[in-house]
Amino acid sequence: MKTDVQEINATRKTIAVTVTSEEVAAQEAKLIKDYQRQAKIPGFRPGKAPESMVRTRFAKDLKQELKQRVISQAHQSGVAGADFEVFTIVELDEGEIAAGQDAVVTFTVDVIPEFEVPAYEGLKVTNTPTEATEEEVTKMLDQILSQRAEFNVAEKAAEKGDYVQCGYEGKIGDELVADLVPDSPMFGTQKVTWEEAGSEDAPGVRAVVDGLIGMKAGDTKEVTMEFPEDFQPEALAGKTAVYSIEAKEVREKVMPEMDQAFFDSLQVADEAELRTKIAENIENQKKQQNATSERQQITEELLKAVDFPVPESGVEGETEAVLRDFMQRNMQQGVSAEEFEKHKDSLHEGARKAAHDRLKSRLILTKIAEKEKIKVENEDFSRMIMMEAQQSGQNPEKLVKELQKDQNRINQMRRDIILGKTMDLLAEKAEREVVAVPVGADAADA
Amino acid sequence: MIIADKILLEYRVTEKAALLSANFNQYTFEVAPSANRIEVARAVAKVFNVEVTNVNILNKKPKVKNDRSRRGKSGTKGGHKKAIVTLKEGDKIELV
Repeated sequence: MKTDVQEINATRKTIAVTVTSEEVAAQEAKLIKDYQRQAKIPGFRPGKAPESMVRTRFAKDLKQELKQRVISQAHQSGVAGADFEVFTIVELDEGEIAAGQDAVVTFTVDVIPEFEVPAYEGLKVTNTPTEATEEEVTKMLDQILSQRAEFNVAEKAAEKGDYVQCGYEGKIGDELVADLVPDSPMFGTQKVTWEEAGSEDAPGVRAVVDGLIGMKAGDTKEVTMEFPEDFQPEALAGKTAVYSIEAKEVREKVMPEMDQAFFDSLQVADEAELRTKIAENIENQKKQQNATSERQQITEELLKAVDFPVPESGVEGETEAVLRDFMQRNMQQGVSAEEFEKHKDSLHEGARKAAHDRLKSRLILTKIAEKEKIKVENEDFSRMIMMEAQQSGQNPEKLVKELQKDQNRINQMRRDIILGKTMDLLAEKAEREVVAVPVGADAADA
Repeated sequence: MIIADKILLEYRVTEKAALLSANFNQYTFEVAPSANRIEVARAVAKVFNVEVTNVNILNKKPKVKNDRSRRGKSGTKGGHKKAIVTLKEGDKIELV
C-alpha cells in the first residue's frame, strides 16, 4: 500500500492511497469466505455452497462490500495513519475496484491547521458590579405591582398611564394611511384598540398615544403625526399624517396595596424581605450576565491572540447551522420568508463571519483541552443529560435510551462537554477586573 | 432426431452435484425415464455445445408413503432417473 499526499491549500489536502492487486485479491478471498459461511442457497446446507456459486449469486453485494472494505483499509492507512490531524473528509473518489488490479482511492480532506496555543492563563476580563442598587429594586417592585394592577372604568379625562379604548384613522391628504401600509394596520386604521395614554415605549403612532391624554370617553380629536426620515415601514418615512381619534372608554390603573395578602401571595413576610429577595434575584441575574460576558471576552481574546486558516468545510457546515438558528429564531417572531430572501446575501455574509469565529475558537479550545488533559467524567454526562431532558421536557431515562442508539450524538455531547469544561477552566484562571458601568447603559439590558 | 427438452428435465443443484462439477468435471441432470446414455450424451452436447466423454445413469426408485389425507392409502414420492455426464477436459457448463 502506498500513500501519496498532495497539498491543495493550507487546510486542504488530497491523499491518494494505492492498494496493490494482491492486497485487493486477499481482501476478496477473505470476503468470499465470509459470505460462503453464511450463504443460504437451496440445495445446500449453510456454509456448504461452493465458491463459484456464491460468487455468481452474490456478485453485486460482493462488489459493493469489497469496495467498502478496500476503502476502509485505505482510510486506515491513509487518513487515520496520517501525520496530520484530519478535520473531515470532503470528497472520496475510489475509482474502479476489482480483484486482480491495483485500486487507487483518493481522499480529499480538510486538515486541522497547526498553530501555537496562545497563552490562555490569566486572560483579562472585565466585569460589571453585581450589587443591586436601590433604584433597580424599586423599579422591579413597581413592575411586580403593575403586573397585579387593576384597571377600573373611570369617568374622567385620561391621564398619563391610563388605558384608553379608542379607534383611529390616519390620512395623508385625502389618502388613507391604511392603503399605503396594508401590512401594518397599527399605523393605518384601527376600529377598536387599547392604548396606554402617554406611554413612552408604545409601538404605535406616537401622536395618537400622546394625544389620548386629556380625552374623555366619547371625545373625538385630530392629531398630526410627522413621521421621521428613517421610519419603518418606508412608505411613511418623512410624511405627515393626520389622525382622527375617538376615545371610547378610559380605564384607570390602580396599583394594589402592599398588604399582607400581597406578601403572602409572593411567599414573603414583609416588604423588607421582598426587597432582599428582589435584590438577590437581580444579583443572580447580573452574575449570570457576567459569566456569559466573561466567556465571550475570553473567546475574543483567544481569537485575537492567534491567527490561522480554518478548514473550509467546517465553516460551511457551521454557517448553515448559524443561519438555521437565526431563521428559526426570527420565524418565531413572525419575520416572513420573503424578508430573508431579500437580505440573503448580507445574512449569509454575517453568518459566515460568525461561523468562522465559532469554528476557530472551538479549534483553539480543543487544543487547550488536549494540553490540559481534560476528560469527560460520567457525572458530566449525567448532568448534561439531565439538563437536556429538562430543556426538552423529556424523561431522562428515555433520553438515555435514545442516546445509546446514536453514537454520533454521544460524540457531539462529549465534545460539547469538553469545550464547556475548558471554558470553565479558562474563566477560573482569568484575571477579573470590575468596572462600573454608567447606570443608564446597565438598566437597558437588565 | 434428439429433442433435448424431452430428455434433459432438470439440472441438479445439490451439494453432491456441486462437488462433482467442481472436482471431476461431471454434471448431474434429471433425465426422462425413457432416455438412455447415448441420447443424454447427444442432448447435452447439443444444448451446451460441449464434448461428452462418459455418461453414468442411475434410477432413483420412488419411496412408498402412506398418504394421510387420502385415509392412509399408500402412494409414491420422489423417484427419477439421474444422469451424471462427464465432459472432456477443458469443457464447462455454467449454470445458476
